[in-house]
Amino acid sequence: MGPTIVQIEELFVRILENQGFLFGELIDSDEVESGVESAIRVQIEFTSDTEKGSISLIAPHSVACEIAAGMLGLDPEDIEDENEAIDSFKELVNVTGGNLITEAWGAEKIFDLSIPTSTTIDNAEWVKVLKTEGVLCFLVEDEPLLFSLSLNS
Amino acid sequence: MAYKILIVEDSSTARKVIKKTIGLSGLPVAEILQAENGKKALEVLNDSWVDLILTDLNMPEMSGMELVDHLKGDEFLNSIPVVIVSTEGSQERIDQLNQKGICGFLRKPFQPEQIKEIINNILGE
Repeated sequence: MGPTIVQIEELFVRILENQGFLFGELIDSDEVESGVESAIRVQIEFTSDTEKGSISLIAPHSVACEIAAGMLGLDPEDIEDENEAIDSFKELVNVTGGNLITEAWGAEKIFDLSIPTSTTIDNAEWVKVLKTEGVLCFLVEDEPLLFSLSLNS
Repeated sequence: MAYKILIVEDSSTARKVIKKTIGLSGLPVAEILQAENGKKALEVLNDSWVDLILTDLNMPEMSGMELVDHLKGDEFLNSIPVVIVSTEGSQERIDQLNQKGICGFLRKPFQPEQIKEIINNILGE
């Protein structure tokens, strides 16, 4: 039994606010634009004796810049280094993953977390993820962010 | 007295956030050194003495757990207090780390008051 949508929503919105001073809200996938040129996907994998899965966050580059700026206390325009935006986005999935697995499965269970990875995806892949059942859509500073949890227990 | 602190973190963003948080906490800090994993931290400690180490757990090349093992097995470095800064939430793993001799555990995300309290508890106000 993994985390509920309400658990994911509450935790992710809280972490966005605490880490990046950003406001996020869960929205319907129909409200998300499909015309994103490219996006960054950051992913963390988790493993325990009974559970195995991954959490991915996918968002346009501009959202990663907003996240980096919020975490570092800068303006988004000041994030000139793409690696800085990606590194911040990876840290966000790291904090989200670590907190979510504890909230969902409890502090009694030991999980191993991978080091977060990142890839760039094109529009076709964005649309595919957007249409995947179970993917949650958040609006962060008026831009879309997709949250995907994959479980292979 | 102003502290010399070593931050061990693979994420450059997390290192900056921790450094900023320490600054906001009002703690007297003489210098903050940084390393991107346990191996680099040991290189830093070859050249510099620090009052406290704040380390992540999950890092490439040498994890925080391995770093703690190295430090505790070293006759000179084993007296440096180590605080784990991680998203780790497993009580069993925190207990394992406590048994290895860490001085504190700070779960991400954290507030300046939490880091101030934990450092003051270890080094004294």
